[in-house]
Amino acid sequence: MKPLLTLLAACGILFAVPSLPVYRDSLENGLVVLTYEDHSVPAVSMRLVSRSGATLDPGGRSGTANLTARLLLDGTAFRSAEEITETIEFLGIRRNAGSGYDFSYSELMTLSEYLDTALTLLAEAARSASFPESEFERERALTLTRARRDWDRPNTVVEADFDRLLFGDQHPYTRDECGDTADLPGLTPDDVRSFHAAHWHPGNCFLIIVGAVEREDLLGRVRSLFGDWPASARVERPTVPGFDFPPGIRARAITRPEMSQSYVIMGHPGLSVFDTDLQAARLMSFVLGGSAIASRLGESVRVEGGLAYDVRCWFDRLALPGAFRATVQTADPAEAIRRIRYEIRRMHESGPTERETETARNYFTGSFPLGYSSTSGKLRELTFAEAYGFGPGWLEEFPRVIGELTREDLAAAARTRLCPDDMLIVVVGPLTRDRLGLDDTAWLEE
Amino acid sequence: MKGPKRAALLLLCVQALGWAGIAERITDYELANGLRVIIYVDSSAPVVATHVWYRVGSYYEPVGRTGISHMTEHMVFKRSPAWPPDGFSQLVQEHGGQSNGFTSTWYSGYFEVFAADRWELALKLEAARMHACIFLDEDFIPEREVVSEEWRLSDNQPTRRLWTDFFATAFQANPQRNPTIGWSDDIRNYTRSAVEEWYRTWYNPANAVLVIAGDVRPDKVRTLVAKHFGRLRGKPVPKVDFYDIEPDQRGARRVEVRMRTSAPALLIGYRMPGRRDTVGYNAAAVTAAVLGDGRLSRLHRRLVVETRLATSVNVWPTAQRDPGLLMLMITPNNEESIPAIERVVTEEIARLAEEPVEERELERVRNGLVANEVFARDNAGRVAYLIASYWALTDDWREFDRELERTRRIGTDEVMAFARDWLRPEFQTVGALLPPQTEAR
Repeated sequence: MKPLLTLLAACGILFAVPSLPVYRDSLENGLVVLTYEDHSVPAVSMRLVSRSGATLDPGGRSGTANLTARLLLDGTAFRSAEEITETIEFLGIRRNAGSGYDFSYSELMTLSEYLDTALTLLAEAARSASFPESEFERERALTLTRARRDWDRPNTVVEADFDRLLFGDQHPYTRDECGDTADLPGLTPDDVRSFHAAHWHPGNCFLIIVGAVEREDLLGRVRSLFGDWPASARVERPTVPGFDFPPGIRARAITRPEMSQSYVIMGHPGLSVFDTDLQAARLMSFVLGGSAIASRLGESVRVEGGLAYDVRCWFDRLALPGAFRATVQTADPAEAIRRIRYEIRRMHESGPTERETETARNYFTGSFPLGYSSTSGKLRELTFAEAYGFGPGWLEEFPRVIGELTREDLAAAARTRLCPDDMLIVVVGPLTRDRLGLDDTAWLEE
Repeated sequence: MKGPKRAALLLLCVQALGWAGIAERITDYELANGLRVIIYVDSSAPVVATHVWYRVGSYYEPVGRTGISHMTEHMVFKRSPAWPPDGFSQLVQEHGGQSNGFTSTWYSGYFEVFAADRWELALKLEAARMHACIFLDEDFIPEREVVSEEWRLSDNQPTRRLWTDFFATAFQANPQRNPTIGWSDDIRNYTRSAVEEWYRTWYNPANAVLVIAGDVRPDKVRTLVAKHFGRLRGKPVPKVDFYDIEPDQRGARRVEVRMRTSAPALLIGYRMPGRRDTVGYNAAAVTAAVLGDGRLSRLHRRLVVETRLATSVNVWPTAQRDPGLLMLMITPNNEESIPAIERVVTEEIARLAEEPVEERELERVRNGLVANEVFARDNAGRVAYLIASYWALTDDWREFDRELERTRRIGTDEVMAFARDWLRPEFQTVGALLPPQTEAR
């Protein structure tokens, strides 16, 4: 880094973010309203988020949270699905919905002049979604087809196997966020009605509005539409059992002779989004494998070795502790695995250099505002901040938190969060286990 | 408010706040060396996106050299006097920016996004990329392996394989038949000197557009652009135009891809005009939306809601510079549904050709297309991308502004004429992804 940039960074003026027009308000019934005023285009996006996601899918009924969110705007006590669709599509309003493990959401994007219509539809759906049978069947069929198609991708095969071996059969992270192909056919409209009743109420939801609005005026409209949405009991969050991760290197090879390349995933237990060293671990893993070119893994596997187009690693960022994962797709998995293991060990033992730390800090602080310059980016970052309790100031707080991290913080994260001697490796491809050069490995049967 | 009035209001709103605003915020000029420069001011965020696009992509490649534009894209990140060997991305990261490159049929594009206080670095990097990249065997040989691995990624994904085989079937002579990444044998046979020659031929100011969008002052940008690009030498580039090369299609074509899959997929394409036929192109866009944009679209109603033969339907125009394909992508419930799906598609297309489309249906479709245009302009990076793509595909970024007006003029006569002239059985190509057949006994 140039001396001038270093000096500016040290003075704390390089990555200063001007105060953002982001506000957090609460209605009396507990509904949190986050507003991000942005008048760059005459449009408004609104996202209603339930703090319940796929982790709270009932046993054997994965996909319930996702289907609930996706069907929220498909019929209410006052309008049929057809009427809602007619209104939405005639006015050029776009809809989107989905679920992660920790939250689920339904959103509308509209031209400003139809803000009231869109907000009314969303409020009505939140309070009185009816989940008609025909819409349920349509959406379930679509979700099931997508889930089946996912299994055509070798990545899905290898990732699902890795998750099941790492977390165990009963852990929610073993299930697909959108629902497993085994569970989806058994779901019924009553499943989503029950999930809606238990998880979509003002104390368990927040509303994000981004776009050409004035906060005060908007709050009045929100209050009139959501203010008498009855509060409900707190959502019970069942304790999720931990999982055992045996020491040593374990591996599984799944032979697919028809493939021209192997897909590799390797890793071990990671951390939770609430862990205090989360950001240090993120920066450290960024140095290790945040990019297929500009990282230690990228340099070794792609640039020097020419072994793969993509190689990277990351820590899951979820409420429950997730995984640390490194992935690569290559015709030479033995050499790629050898290089990745070497780099993980090197990072574990020595941590990043001062320069690597500086680069990671600059990248995270500098590129963060770029990520929320779009409407979808604003929705994504505000959802993350509110769902995990970082608060609306997070967008401005983040650069400061990152700026305070030192090389020693990243090295400590490498020492405690990377475990080169305790690793799970899953490979799918045109190979057999003896071609992987893993002599120190306990093999798991296919 | 009733339909027509509401639509008029919508269009008024968009014209007032969208299109006029875009044109007023643009400074457009050309340097003496032929570099087209377009500056778009958007001060809503302290961010600047810089795009440099070249008119070269898989369309321009001769037989035996397919994918060489994409290989060149990989190589122009490797080495130049402006960044350390393989250090391009790291330099951008150090300055808190983001960057990438992409290759398509018609263009090769590069971009950086930086905070507004340091975006000049993008000009320095892109100027070096334009004229000073260094090609060495020690970089080239491993990078060719990287591209081979990228090709294998597609080869192992059944739906990507379907797309590749589909376009190779739909076109016989037009280079749109070739995958952007190239055919695997061609990739293996690239030489460093051939890639370098390709770079020297196509990468120069006279074949490029520079778009700077974001929190900038045009007068300052002009000074900086002159400083970094003013001294580069422009030179003529070969003229490549295959607009009329494709032989007339004289009958429906069909291709099957049988791979391990648990969800069949169906692609149906019909010939459609390129962008030089402005009425035909926009009629195709509106027709596509009538058939398959949204849950009220005709094919969604018939295939997903009424007959339940499919779980999803999407229809869109792919044609860009040359005549291309109006694409239908349908997810059948199962392999057995496919003949019935094709019958429904044929019926609905015949209906389009024979019966006028009601005004309210057209109005809904046009409103959706217009709203999408507004949503797409919510950040400077996206606008920069759109401006550059209009330059690359139509030779004039102002087409970006004219699109809405042309869409608005498409009525039922244009849709019916398009359906009659282009959506004909003999202009159809069908591609199906299916599970492997039972092994022979």
